[in-house]
Amino acid sequence: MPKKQIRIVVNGREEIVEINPYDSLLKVLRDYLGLTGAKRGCDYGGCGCCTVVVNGKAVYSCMYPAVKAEGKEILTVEGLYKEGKLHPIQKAFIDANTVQCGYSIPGAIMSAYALLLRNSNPTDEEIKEAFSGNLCRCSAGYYWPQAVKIALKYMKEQGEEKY
Amino acid sequence: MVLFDLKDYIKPNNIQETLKLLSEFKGKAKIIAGGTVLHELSERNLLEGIEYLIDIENIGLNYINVENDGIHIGATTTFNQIVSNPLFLKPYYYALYLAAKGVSSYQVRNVGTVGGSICSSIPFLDVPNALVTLDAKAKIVSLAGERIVNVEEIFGGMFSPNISDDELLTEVILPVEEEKTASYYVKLTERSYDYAIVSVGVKLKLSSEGKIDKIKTVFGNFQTTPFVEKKVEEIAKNKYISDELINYIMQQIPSVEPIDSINASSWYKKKVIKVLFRDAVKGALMLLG
Repeated sequence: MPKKQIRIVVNGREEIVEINPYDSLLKVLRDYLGLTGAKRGCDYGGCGCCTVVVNGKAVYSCMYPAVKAEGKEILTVEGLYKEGKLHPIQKAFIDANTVQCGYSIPGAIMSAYALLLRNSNPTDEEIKEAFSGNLCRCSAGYYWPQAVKIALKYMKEQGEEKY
Repeated sequence: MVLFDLKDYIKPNNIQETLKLLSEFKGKAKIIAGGTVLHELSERNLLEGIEYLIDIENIGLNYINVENDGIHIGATTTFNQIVSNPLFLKPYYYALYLAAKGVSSYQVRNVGTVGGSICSSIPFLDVPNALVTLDAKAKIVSLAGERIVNVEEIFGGMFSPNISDDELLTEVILPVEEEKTASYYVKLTERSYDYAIVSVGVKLKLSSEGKIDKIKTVFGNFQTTPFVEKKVEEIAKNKYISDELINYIMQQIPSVEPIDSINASSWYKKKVIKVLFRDAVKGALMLLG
């Protein structure tokens, strides 16, 4: 099968990868680039564990064709951790006790990131809506909205409303 | 995603280029917009023999324009663009807003497109049902020319739209707003992010004396295509709206046997559709004030 070369920007780093034309973005991230933050939960857009941010929007990377991502900026959970410091959202997710098994957390954090990117003062309803595509079976997902509020507080303290 | 015959994934830059590719590859190519239905298609072996995927993301069909003949929505406009546009908060177009907002999850709404949801021709998708409720038209172009059809006519059963291999749906045209008209959309799901078990779209127009002038009722996931229940208008036309009238209509519908589907039996759908119909009419009345 003919391979295809694409150029994508992942977490601020330009990558050129050779892929099959039908590969999903998730496959490229995990199998070609070794970024295993985004998880392969259901692989058809049901669980949200594979959520990444493409050009500022949260998408399911499992159903996002990799070629579509060509020339776009992709942010995965690995990209939030910078210079040995956790991103305020990551810190808030820890402090709000949102983690039990942790499988859905990378996706949920990226959904929260996309929410705060487009809206620096979300209402309770908007926060709930942002997590509408992320499942958590440990029931710790109940605390995600609270984590977003804590993250907002941290970001204000650090003076970076939009990270 | 498994497409063993796939040779290339092409991203053309304009409509003309896309049409040329489509007529060149004749049935060996599939158009993709958001790509969210691709998985469903490949699971059902409907992508066998497809050698080229043509991504229409960059051909300039991402717009919502208000013109003299109504609102033009480009084929690759995403559901979230509809939800965030205040145009669709008007009572006349409200069904489309509710349908787009009801699409499973935020992530899908970021990539799922209006054109894609019509062309996949799946009866349980919400946006196509709302478009049928609103009497929307669609513009379909090919190298031979263009045609404008009612969105209703595009559906030809599960995964088989009435669009030939060399044609491309470019936009959807919603009619101009009418006075004293409101539309509403209700869907029943097991969980909030699920596909609809059944859904009802209603467009209600009252005359100046407050009688029912027009009422269009569409049931989603009821038949293999969006089902327009004509009986409702037959009964309700030129009558004052009242609880008795709604109760009477609830007893008279549906006029066909619904299909069984994975999440509900025909028997259940037949019962529950009555209640959804009532809720949709009440919602439309609420918008009319």
